[in-house]
Amino acid sequence: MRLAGILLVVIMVMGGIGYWYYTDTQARMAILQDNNAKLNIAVETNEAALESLQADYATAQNEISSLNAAYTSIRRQNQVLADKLQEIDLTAAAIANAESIERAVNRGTLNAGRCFELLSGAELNEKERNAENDIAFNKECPWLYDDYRARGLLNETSTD
Amino acid sequence: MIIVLAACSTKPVPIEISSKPIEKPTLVLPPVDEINMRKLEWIVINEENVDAVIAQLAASGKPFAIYGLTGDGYAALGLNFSDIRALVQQQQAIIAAYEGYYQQAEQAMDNAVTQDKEE
Repeated sequence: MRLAGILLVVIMVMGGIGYWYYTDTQARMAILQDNNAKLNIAVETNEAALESLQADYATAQNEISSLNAAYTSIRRQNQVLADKLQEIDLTAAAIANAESIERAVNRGTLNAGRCFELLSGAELNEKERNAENDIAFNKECPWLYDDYRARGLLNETSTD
Repeated sequence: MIIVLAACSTKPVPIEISSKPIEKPTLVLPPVDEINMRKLEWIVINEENVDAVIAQLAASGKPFAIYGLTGDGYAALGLNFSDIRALVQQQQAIIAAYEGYYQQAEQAMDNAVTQDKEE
């Protein structure tokens, strides 16, 4: 009888331990599954961040390439006046025909000033809107013609 | 002993992940002031026309005082202006590059957030 009582107690204790072990294991498994899901999401987020960084890097490279191309173009444009002045002896021209060179430098100054106005965002005037080519647009900054044309700011009758 | 060996001595800690996109305020900058160049007039003087120019200035009632440049000086002035214009253009190109980069980065970020929400 005493032995049966002891066995009953042992069985109940074992049963209690078994129940505790079962519920505890289930809880652990649930947490681990949840953690696994969260880690999967974290990995996906990391991959997305990595892709975004790679895209940003590619964008930055494109912008640097475009900027280098723009610099080359600007330097070439800046060289135009230097090349022109190499071909002209301004002193000799002033001695030979002061009036003519005076008109030319005044026109050039006006055009060069207008280039700055346009670069600052000034609206095109009628002559510029109707210009048929880059030289008619402005002799000092003819390259702006293509830019305005691309933006559709010139009258459609304009041709190259 | 068995519980310790089975790594069941402690409960696993639930991982908490928090990711919240933050809206960056849009930077709206005013445009630069438009330039209105002042009118200026060059007077070209040589040995032949110097008297005529002086007489012309006297006739117009202006006192005779002229700031002069030689041909080389005028060329240098023109080249300096050309350099400044190139500098302005380069600065504009840099600003355009920044603008392009940040707009595309912003777009990529928006796409990533949208994709994340859809998933």
